[in-house]
Amino acid sequence: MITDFSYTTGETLLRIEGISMAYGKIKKNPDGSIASAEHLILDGISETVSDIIRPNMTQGQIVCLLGPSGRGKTQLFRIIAGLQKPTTGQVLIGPEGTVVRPGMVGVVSQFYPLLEHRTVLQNLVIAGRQAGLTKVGAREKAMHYLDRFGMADKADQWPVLLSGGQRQRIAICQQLMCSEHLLLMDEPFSGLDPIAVDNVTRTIMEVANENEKNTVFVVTHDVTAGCTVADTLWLMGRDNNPDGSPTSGSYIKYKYNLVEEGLAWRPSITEEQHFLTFVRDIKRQFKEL
Amino acid sequence: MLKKILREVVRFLTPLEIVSTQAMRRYSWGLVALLLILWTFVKLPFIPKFGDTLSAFGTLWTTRGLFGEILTSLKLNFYALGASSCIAFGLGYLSTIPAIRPIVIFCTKLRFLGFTGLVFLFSLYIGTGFRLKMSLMLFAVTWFYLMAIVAIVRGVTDDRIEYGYTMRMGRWRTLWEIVILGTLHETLGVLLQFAGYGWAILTAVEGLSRSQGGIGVMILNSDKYLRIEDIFAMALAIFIVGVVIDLCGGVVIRRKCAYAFIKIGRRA
Repeated sequence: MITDFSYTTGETLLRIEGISMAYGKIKKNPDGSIASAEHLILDGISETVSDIIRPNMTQGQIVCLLGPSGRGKTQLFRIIAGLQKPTTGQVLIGPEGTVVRPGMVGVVSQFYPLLEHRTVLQNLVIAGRQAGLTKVGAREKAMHYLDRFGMADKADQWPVLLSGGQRQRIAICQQLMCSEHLLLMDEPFSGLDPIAVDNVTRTIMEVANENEKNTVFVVTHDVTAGCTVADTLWLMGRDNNPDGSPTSGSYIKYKYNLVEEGLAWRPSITEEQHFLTFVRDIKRQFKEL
Repeated sequence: MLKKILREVVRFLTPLEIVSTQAMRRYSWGLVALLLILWTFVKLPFIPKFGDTLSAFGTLWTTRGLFGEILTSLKLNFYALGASSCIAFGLGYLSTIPAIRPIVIFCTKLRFLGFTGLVFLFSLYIGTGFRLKMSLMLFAVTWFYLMAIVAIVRGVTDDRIEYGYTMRMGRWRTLWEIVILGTLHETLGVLLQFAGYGWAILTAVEGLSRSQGGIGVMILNSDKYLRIEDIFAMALAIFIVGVVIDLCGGVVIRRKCAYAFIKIGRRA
């Protein structure tokens, strides 16, 4: 059980610099920022995620991006993954600040896509080869991940024969094979029963703890599951006009460091009063997003 | 017992009902047997009986070189299928390149152009014999074939393409892994379909250019002398060869793309 919550921050893992996303007619200011836009989805999001160093502990971190539907979570997800170019701003990866390209950040989308025409092991090896590993190196790394996630016996199976949970694990392993410690997960708790949510939570914890630099971004609208798994919580929302209607353009409205709040994940956290009160507060705030 | 049979009959007449492969196989063979019995014992005007057709088949096989003619036709069909596959697959996959897409779309529209009036033009440019038949077959099959391949390629969703990018695959690698290999079971299914289509129109093409023979020419010759038993025997031969091509192709696809035929849960 985690008892010591003290930590220091290390090098920068990811930096989001002034990300805006707009569609339709867009007018820009001389400095490149958006003056007005027909449909403004994201409005100047800037955040930094740094390596968290905890004493005597090898542990990555989990950032949960929470927000109601229609707040641009998926847009931000795609921009961080390098799959979509923002209207303004950029996403920089690592301490050197390399502009994100597809493949630098692992992406596990909701339906866990895999290469159906390749076996589980081939799925992982091909991802490793794409990241520049040798055939032997990719195979060794793939077997390491399969062992680590208890899937070694499925190495020669076709993906179609995997259960939903197994498929998710393989999809995660595949992305870890080729990404640089950053993994994005889109709605991993969607449509799952409580036991399955618990299993997914454990899987995400395993991924984070696999390497201290591993950082998992979980995009979800499931408040309880999000609070259970996260070290850092970003609540995404919009402001309201005086008449109560929402303004256009979402941003990270509230941020919580759950480690500092003493709410870092542990097996029984969902039963603790402190956690339940926190979730209730977040759910209340959720309505204002 | 009667109740059980009745229950089975009702099951076979119910839409979306699941029956075992074994039961379906028994039922199918039963239908074939019924058809053969009807063909043997029921007399219909202008339709030779099964026995007469078999006897004509024997004569054609032993004295008129039916086997050789089937081989000639098969050779033409496989050559035409190979060439049309190269064109349809090549253009179909190249349709992912914006500069080539309009050309491919134009080519798919050529399927509305029949080849009957073009035979003379083809013979002027290409010559006669095998090359003419081959080019006619190509013209008749390729554009439909291309249309089917393009539909499969366009059916690959953006999510799947982006999935390739998330594994650091470039455009060409994504085209190979996600589009070409990822849809191989579907495209091979189309190939098998067009092997059947080519085989079905082959006799018509052979009729347009009779040099070098083929089973189509044999049918036309029998047609001239109203040898109805011979026509039925050859039609039966064409049908059987077609079914064998279909079965063999099916086995190859199931072996090469085993992952696409694994069924979990409901089995039909």
